[in-house]
Amino acid sequence: MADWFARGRTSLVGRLFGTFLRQSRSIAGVLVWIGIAVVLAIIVMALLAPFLAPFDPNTKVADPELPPGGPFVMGTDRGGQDVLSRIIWGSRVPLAIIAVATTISLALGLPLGLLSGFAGGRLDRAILLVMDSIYAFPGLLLAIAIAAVIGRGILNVSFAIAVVYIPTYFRVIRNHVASVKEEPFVEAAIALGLPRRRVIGRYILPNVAQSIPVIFSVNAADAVLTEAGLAVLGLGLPPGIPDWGFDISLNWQRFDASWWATFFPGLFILILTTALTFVGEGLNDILNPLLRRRETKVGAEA
Amino acid sequence: MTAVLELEHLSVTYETTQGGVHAVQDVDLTIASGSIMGLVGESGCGKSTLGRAILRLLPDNADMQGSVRFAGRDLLSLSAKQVRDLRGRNLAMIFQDPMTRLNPLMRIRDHFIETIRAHDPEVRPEDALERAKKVLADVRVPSDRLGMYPHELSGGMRQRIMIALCLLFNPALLIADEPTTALDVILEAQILQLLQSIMHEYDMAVLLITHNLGLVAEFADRVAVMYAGRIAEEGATVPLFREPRHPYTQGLLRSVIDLETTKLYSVPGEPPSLLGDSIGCPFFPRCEKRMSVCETVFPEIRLVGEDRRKVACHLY
Amino acid sequence: MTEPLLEVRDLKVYFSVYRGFVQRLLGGGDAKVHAVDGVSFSIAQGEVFGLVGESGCGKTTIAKTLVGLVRASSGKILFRGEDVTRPDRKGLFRVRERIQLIYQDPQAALSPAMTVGEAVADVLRAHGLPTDKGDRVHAESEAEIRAAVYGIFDDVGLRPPAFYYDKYPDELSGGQKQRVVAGRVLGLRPQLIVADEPVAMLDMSVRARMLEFLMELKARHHLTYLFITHDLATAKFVCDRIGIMYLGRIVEVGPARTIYADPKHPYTRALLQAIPIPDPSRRSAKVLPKGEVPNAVWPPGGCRFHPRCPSALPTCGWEGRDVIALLEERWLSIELAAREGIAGPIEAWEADGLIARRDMGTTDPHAVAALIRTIIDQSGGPMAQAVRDIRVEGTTVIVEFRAPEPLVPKEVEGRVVECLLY
Repeated sequence: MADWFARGRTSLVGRLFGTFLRQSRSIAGVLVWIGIAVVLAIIVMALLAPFLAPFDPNTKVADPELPPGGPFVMGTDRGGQDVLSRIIWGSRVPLAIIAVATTISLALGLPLGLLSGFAGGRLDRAILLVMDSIYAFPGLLLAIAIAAVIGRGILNVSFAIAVVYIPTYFRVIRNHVASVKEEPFVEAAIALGLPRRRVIGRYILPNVAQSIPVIFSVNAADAVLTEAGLAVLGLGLPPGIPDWGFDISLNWQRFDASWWATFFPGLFILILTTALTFVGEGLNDILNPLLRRRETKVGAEA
Repeated sequence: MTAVLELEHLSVTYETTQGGVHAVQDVDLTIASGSIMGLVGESGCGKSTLGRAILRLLPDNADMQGSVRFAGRDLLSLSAKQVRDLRGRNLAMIFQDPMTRLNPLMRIRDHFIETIRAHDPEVRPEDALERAKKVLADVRVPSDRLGMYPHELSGGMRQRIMIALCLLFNPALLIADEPTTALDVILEAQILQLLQSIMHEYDMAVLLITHNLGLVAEFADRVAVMYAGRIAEEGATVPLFREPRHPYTQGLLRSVIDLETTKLYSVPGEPPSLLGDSIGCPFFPRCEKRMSVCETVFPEIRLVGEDRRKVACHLY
Repeated sequence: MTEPLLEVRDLKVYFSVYRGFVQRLLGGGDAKVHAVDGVSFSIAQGEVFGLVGESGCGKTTIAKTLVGLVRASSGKILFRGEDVTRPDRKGLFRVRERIQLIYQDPQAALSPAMTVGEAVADVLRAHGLPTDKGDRVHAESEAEIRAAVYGIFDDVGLRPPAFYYDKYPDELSGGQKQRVVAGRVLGLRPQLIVADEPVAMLDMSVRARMLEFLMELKARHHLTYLFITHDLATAKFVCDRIGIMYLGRIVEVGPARTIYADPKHPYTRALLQAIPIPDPSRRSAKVLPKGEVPNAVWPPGGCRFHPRCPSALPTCGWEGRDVIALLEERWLSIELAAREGIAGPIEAWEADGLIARRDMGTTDPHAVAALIRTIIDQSGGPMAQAVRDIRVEGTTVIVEFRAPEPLVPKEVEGRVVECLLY
């Protein structure tokens, strides 16, 4: 793999990005831009939390359950903490979990998918069986089970979520590889006597890579929801770390009295997942035609 | 002679992100009833687009201009529903790969029943099957194939079945787009012989779209040679092959490799891109007889010689 | 005669047909596609040997077997006298340097995600750069590889090389792509090039240029070609010797000139006759073989061409299923089908080797047997004389054929033909 990166004179990332840029004015492109803008805004918010947050998120700064208004734009929660400050600080958790969880699932799912799809036969069937049995579990349930066993903390929660999404990467990559493997150019590479590692890294991977950003964004959206779900069930992070999901779990029973303490964290979860979904769906529209290009050369058909 | 189809100034432009692709430009073509018109050209010359344009089977990004007169009506001015009604009933089309045109999950019998009932919803399935058996006998397919799925049939059988589906309503014109390109020579000859005998029986005209000059020479009554979206030359088959007038036709004929070829020849250069507007003769860069006028002025179609052949070339 | 560069002896390649679990439980043995079924030929150094046949005749399977993409089921492949039928991994690496494949579709043979320069460079990185001494060394630097690719591009006529290096396959014409594919292969300094329909995807107006290019390369690099095509006209132009294949067998093989001047095998004749002639003044009625190439899972007994052959003899291998095919064709006529209804329907007939049978149930089997005898005598042609007997056993009508005469390749007027006519 390192070999491939070192020698790849044509940058895969650059090529995918180029395809995206060329189509960025289409409807799908606009969707992606909106999604990216929103996600970037949330990332900036997380990075600048110490400067942006008007209050300390973990301190009682006023009476509990003050409605939005005055210095407390989104009100205060049942602990008398500023909801806005908690939301600003709380954006760090889903972002960190997205980063760690998707990296782990990609790091395991991609190589396994490549291997399984290329090798075929018994090895493929064995890996497929394991992955399918993970996949068969409802995602949240599996994450709950893992989280319950390994305990709380960002890394632990990320790992629990990562396990849930490995099969997604695996499945998509494996099926894609299995079809690209049948392409004559792969057979030609084999006939030219190229080593197997090279065939996978240089001939197959670049032709399946366009699925990765798509799964990444869709999974990221899912990961945010799963994390929130874990938090609501009390299996998320230890108390003290501001977290949207945790805040919901803390306040939702008091929804009638102080709807804002539940509503605003929920709204932000919705915004982040929607933005990520926009990116995923948009990229799917833009990047996947790359694969179909051969059949649909517009206008050039005989 | 009556005309079954008349194309006048037909142009098709695909709108793409890189600009307009002029796949068909200003084509005039008349097909006489009961005759075979051969439309030859190389890949990307627009011949398939032309065939599909007649049936209005083009993708959404295609813009059509001009007129397509069929049975006294301009197909371009009809509603989508009216065109659907004509398709399969009066105008039919077969394609290169019959496998992709048949639904893999449907038995052959259901293809027939569905096609018949799409136009005559009243017909009972049993009567539809009787009609299916009759046309199948005409294309020499045993009727037990009705119970099979497309993948159980050979390539030749599938193409025969496609033809049979087209014959159900006795269309006036059959558009055959590279009907035998996926088939081997012997099958190719079989299918074309079949088409020839059937068109007499059904009194049907055929637009045979192909890259194969040999097929056109053997089967077509008239030939239209297409290059870069335009008709370069059009006329009766025998004189056109005996004395090709357009330099492209001449080059194409010389480059055919047949059993009597003793010297290889290829037309220099490559076909032009159809993207964007062009001036002058599209064949200019490859032409061995080019003149200065060819670079800037597009040659209009002229009637040349005793056979009044249409040629788009400044030489005449 | 010197030792041939390549010799193929009685090569067989069978593929298993995937059958579902239930089907396997029900038995019936494993079905196999007889893709190549006992093929022998040899190619001399510097020769162009053509394998010609229709799709499914096994010519592409032979190509893939030679370069090691497909395993031979049995038989031998000798390259310069060395057995390369089943090379181990290391041996395969060496074989692949010497026997190389050029594909039919250059677009498909190049990865759309890789520049054409990289496509060639990649091979040089894996195999090293060829030296004048005939061995290979690993490149010292990327610059050296780039220079080598430029040299190859120049060799295959992609000039200036620097212009083409960073192009993607999509940006080149079909002919240019085929040059890239040829260049990639030449980088390995092969001795034998297996060209699988190298011009079939190209437009007629540029096809000749590609053929000339291939012949030029051959002369410049002292190559030997195995030229695989379905197009007899192209084969005639480029091949020194040709083998005509039908359903996994070579039916006629010999010097191209001899075969084209006077084809002996009925299949060769049929193929030649079917080629469309681009001269409308010479239209003539063609007598074409009946039907299509049969399924290679159950190839016909005896001579594989016998069911379609216009010159078939009673000894060519007539068998049970030929009777069913005859009835099927006859009953295409709705009128005849109705008149001979007592022998139908066609689905009720079954074939088993030399026998065709039909259980008549309550219908009088003797009447049906008589009808079948009349049909075969009237319209069965040579099949009629191959019938051993038509008899009734219980309620079953049985048609049984005599065993065919064994078919062996024979030397006929300067070529080898596998046909009982000679």
